Amino acid sequence: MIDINQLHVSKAGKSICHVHRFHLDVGHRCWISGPNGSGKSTLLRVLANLEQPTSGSCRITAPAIDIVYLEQSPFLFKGGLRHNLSFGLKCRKVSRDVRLKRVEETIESFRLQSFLNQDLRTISGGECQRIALARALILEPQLLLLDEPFAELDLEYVELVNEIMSCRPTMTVLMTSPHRPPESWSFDHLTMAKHTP
Amino acid sequence: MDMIWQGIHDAFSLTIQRDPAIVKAAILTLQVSLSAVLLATAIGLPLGAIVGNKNFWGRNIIVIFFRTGMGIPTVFVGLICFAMFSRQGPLGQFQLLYSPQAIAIGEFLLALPIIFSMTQGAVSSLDRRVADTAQALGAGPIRKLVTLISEARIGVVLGIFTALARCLTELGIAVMVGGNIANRTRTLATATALETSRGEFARGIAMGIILLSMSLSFTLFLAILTRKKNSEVTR
Repeated sequence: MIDINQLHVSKAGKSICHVHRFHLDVGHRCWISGPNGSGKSTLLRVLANLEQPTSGSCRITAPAIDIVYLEQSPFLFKGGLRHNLSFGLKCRKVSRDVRLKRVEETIESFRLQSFLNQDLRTISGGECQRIALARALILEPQLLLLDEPFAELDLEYVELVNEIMSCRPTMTVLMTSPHRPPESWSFDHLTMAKHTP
Repeated sequence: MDMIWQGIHDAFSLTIQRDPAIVKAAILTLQVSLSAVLLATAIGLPLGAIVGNKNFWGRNIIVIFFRTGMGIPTVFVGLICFAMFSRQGPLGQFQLLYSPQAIAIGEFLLALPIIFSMTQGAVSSLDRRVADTAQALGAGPIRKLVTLISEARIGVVLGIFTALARCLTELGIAVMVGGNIANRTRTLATATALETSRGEFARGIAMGIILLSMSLSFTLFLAILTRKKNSEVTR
């Protein structure tokens, strides 16, 4: 699924991310850890095609539309819960009926009913992360890139998300997190070191 | 002071009686201004969103050029259009001078910098994550642009409304390339100026009231639209 070789990203002459060699097979899950500024988020942004590497190669076998990236502090669009959940489905030209059905199913499985009548501009960081996770997982992508997705979530909800992800065995997941995921999650591990310019 | 009150009184009776000259001028004003603003929106909106979201060489030059255009005197636009549409001008063969189309083109040049600049400003002040989130969820370039415009809609709508207000009330272009010909190119603004100079104060005020009513109607319409959009947030 992912093949990285001598990937290097620098900004304003400063090296911000370097990965010597990395390979991840389809359906595998990898947890990336490392100190602040080691380039974990930059690596995910490069894989999501939001940034270009300065040098090296990065090959992903999944088509661009099947890669979904979730930011560390996610952004929710104006227009309510249903609009946010259906955004990616509209991008994939999913028919209206299927879209509505999947949105309702996701609201139920992610226990988001309480946000239906709520102004999303007033919700907390953790609640925002819950909706953003649901918005990413509703798309059932081949490659899911998560940047510290559980930082503000309570344990119960983290387990719920893990359960939902377990139902999608072919989905490849790359996740940054300062804490080791539970053993039951069976994640591979990549450690990134901080680079000096 | 009596003259003003008398003017307002006469204005209401003329408006209620639907004076044909006033009605024609009002319809022409609406037709010309709306078509100019629609065309300027079709071009200025996507262009402003692209320039607001992308960083490229020459971006600042484009932004400064259009921002300068926001304050351009209407007489100057009228002068340029006159030079273009007059018989000796490069577009003289189309015989557009003293036609409603010429006024619409002039007003388009007036509206375009306003819509472009307000859209560009609104989009460039958006959170960086708007574009990134849209792209990360699979949005192509067009959907990404639509999302940016949608997120910046208050600024964008304000820009369109400002442009419409400027077109509805402008005088310089309508006089210079329209010629203020009765029943053909006479807009409410040119008619107001003409009637006032003739001493027909009541008719001048009547037209002013109609202009004000149009402006008020658009403001109310936009307020309702914005309120409706906001209420959708909770659904």
